[in-house]
Amino acid sequence: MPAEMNPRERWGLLLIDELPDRPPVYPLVTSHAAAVFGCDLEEYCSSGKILARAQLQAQSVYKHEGLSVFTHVGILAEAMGSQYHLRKFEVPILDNPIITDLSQIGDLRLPDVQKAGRLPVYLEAIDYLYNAMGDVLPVFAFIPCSFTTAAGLRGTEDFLMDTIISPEDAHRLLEISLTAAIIFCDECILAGALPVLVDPLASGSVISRQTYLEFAFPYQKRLIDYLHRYDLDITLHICGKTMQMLDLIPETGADLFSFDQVDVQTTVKTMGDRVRLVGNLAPNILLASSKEPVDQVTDQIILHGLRNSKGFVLSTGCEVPIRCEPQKLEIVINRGKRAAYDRIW
Amino acid sequence: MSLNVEHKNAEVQDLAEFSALEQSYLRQMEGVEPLIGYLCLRVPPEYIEASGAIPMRLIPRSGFDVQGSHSIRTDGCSFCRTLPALLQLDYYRGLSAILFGSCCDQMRRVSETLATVQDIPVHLYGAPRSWNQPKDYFQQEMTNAFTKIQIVTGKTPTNGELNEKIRQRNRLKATVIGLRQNGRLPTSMLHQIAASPLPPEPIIDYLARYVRRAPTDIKIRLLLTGSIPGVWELSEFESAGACIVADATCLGDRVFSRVIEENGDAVTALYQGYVGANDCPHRRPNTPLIEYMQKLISERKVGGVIFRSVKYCHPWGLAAERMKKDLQLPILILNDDLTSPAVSNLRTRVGAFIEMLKSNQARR
Amino acid sequence: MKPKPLQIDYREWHQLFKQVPDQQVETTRYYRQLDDAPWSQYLFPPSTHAVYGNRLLRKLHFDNSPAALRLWGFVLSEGERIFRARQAGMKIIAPMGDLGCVTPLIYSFPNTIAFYPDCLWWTPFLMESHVLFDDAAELGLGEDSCFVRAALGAFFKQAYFPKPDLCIGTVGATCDDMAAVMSEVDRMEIPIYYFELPPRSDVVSDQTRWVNFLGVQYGALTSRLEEVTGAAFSVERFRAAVLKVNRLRRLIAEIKKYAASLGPNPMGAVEMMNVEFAALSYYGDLDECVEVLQDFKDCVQSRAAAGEGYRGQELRIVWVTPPADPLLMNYVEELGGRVVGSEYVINQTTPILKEEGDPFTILAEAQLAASLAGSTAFRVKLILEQLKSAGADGVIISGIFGSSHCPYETIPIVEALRKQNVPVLSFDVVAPGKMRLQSQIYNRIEAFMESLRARKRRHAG
Repeated sequence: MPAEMNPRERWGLLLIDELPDRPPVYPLVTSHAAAVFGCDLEEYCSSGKILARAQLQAQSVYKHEGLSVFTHVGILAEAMGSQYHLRKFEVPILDNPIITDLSQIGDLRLPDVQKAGRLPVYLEAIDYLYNAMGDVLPVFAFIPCSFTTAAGLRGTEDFLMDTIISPEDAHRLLEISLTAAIIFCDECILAGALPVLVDPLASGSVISRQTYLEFAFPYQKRLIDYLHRYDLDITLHICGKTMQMLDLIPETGADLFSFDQVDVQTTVKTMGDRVRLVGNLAPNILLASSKEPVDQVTDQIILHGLRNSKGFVLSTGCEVPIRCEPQKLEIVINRGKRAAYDRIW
Repeated sequence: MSLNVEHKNAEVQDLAEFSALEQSYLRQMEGVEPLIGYLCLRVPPEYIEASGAIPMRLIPRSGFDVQGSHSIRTDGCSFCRTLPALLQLDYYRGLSAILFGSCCDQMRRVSETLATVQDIPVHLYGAPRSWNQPKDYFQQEMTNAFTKIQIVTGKTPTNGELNEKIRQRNRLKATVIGLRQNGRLPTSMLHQIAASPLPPEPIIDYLARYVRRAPTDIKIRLLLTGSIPGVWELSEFESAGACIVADATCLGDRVFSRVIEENGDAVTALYQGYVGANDCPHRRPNTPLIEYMQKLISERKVGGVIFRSVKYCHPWGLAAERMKKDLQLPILILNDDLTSPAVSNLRTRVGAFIEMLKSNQARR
Repeated sequence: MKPKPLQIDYREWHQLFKQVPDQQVETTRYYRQLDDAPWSQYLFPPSTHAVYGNRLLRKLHFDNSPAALRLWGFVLSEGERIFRARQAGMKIIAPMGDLGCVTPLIYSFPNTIAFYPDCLWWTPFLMESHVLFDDAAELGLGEDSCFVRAALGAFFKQAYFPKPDLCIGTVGATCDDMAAVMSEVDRMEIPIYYFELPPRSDVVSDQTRWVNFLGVQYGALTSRLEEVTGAAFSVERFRAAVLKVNRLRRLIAEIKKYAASLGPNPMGAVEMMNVEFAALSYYGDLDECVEVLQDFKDCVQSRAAAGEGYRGQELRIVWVTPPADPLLMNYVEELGGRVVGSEYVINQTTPILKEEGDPFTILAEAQLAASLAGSTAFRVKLILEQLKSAGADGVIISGIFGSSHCPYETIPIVEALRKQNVPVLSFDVVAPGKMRLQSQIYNRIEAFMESLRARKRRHAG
């Protein structure tokens, strides 16, 4: 019997087109870590050390296979001047976008990644986690793509209107958001994390295929291209429904696609020979109130996910809810750990 | 317990008598035949005897590790480290040369150390570490080394003389193995005989007393394996209420297990028996040694294993976990150096292990 | 892009990398013989490899030349390369224990590459991790054996290289620790072929028989390689491989010569160690390795010719036994040292192989130069030669605790050097994470460098 692989080894094989002993099991345990650690989200989002320690605590409880550094999708917009409202038991929300008038776009400045907003929290957390467990666990930094950051700079509704009324200004916002994402990715990489690109606002639940193609896709692709120049394997996460743009995802260059409200079989069929898939247990199933049988749903995802020729990661479709039922999450993780590939050796 | 004490007393007396016999022989032979030191199981003592010399196997002694050679670091094998100091003992002072049959890397290297610190010739011959190697090269290595020994002794043995020595040793081997199979010869005496400078005949005569003795009735039957332990350790193992009925260390049953062809080309037969077929732990793969131990376990109804390795002895020490898996018996792994202060520790661990075996046996 | 020689950290390389032309990044590839290999680029900065867990890279200093970047990229991509080789249908041979002797033969078979599991000993240091040591310990190889035990951990894990089509275990006058690794590998259902390397006598008249014996060994190994690769041995292909290997060995020798030039230090010690170890298995791609080293040689040569190099590194050091922890070399450099000579137990990879004659004899004769197959006196001779040719101020021996050779060699080497009035510092490299022991070594290096500086001043005065 070979020794059991650790998560770092498992992910490492997956990313070079080798099958590990089993798929990595990586539910998106983000703010739920604060609940496990016993702190509120204000603390979690304001101190890199607390965020890191909470992540380590959650990992030691669940033994999932990756550490996630994430506070909220507006992290770059906030660092560039938008105001977010921290809440103790819910994720931060946008209070005041920095761009209230399109004439202000020219005044936007790139964030100082070492000082601005919550960016230092990220960097401190990554450094802490990397030093603590980086040899055995990958550290992932969730970084918003341009579309989501632009929406945070302008306010979601206004930005969506801009894409119709003033597309040039929308592109200007997207451009600066892209640059901000690049410089922040650089710092996260240097701190020891692999960027995971998140673009929840570019979801089919929010925008049309055409809007995606014109305003989200090009910037996702450019950001991925930039990171590919460094040979980094990039996960693109889009929440909600992505069925309508599924065929476009491989064209972004994403190495892994973290998907949410799309059928696994369809996703495998559409892109499974080109992209590794990460997904996609619906987070609400992990709530105590859910009546859905978590074990059966997980088994179905594993069954189809394992067939993905490019590889598969068992995950949740989006963040594990803050108040998730721990036993349910344990069921998901344990079932994932029972899955196995036929070993090559 | 009183039975054990009685046994132990008899053993101590036997060992003392045998030592006296050896001393007397060495005095008698002083100036008659040179003494040739040798290491290890790959050197045929028959060849040394037929060359007109007395073979003296260099064996570890407790207490010498701490005063090990200043030219070997402390992470060297405990036995190898003791050798330069050991050779200062009166017992080894009369050596005219030392012969190494190369085995592990450390033995090879310690031969070089000895060559620089001793004023007598030290010869090393390469021996195969893998199996099924053509014999020509290595047999030539062996005979070249013996040619150098013959320069010391001034005698080149004939094939007939070598075969005669082989016959004598074969008789000794048969006697020893017979006694061991019947549980009549204790391990401490086995080790003494394995390293003895005495020729086979007086040893065979001496062993006659064991033929008349009752075999051991101790129920806890052990296999001892690993690097060669010191005498005090053997004594601790056996006085704890167990009997080492099988011994796969380099001074144990393996010394006597291989009968050499008596009527052919003696050099080839000696090479085959001592070098070609030698199941040393450093050979790759080392499965023949494990198979030998499995055979001993089955033949001698062994119920537990003491694996005792000296610190930094790689061929044995690094194989401990493997033996644990392959021998499939309760095993006590002792990793020690050759100093003696750890007596109490060893006694406690051995005692606990044997108690465990006893209670297992009682449960069955 | 031809910057002034500097040693920079991973952060600086990350930024500097932006200046590397896209086309250069795109076209710097291994396995160039393959048409469709999108994964074969390797010109990436250390930060990339740090993200994937090679944590030591965040502490090391690197040379700032494009040639050094290429070298690092090539070295650090070896693990992935071996997997890709298998995916591309190549045969994977894993020699162990011989350190560079059998590889010219392996590369003379078509579509076949080699890698040394022995070199996994750097992985725990690179990752600052105990994982592989812990796994080796589970199989019985604990702290009282050499760091090569990490190779056993890697075999056990099955995650660091693909299953080799054949392991070649060289046993005999090789280290006992690697023999212990082989013993366990043998039980993992991996085919292993034992290559017998008897101890080599210093007596020249004995060496002919030894060479003949090794020739026979090479013949038998060749038959086994024919079986495994399904290809007949071809003398022409062997000669072609030898020509390439010789080119590579000449490049290494030249690079070493330029790195030891009298001007300022033109290249970092860790890069130089990477260069020397290229001679073991060519990091899995002989053709590309030659190109990488050619590039590197051009860089070092031009710096040496222009008198360019790092500032403040005046103390000339010969380094004996490769340090499992490369950070120690950086530390010596920070304290004003530069490595001008080395004896990394791989002297067998330095002879230029004969280009005519019996292939097996050619390979066997090269082993007459092997660092560890013979006596300590032979190795002392190698070190003294390095010392003399490099005009060194002192020697650093980074020993390996628990290895089978260091306990016997170290003291005689130290004594021989002291007899020649050469200052020498000897210590054992400590496993990752043992901070207290590590700081003691740092203190000793510091004191040694200070004493060398004072000595140099006295001599100059």
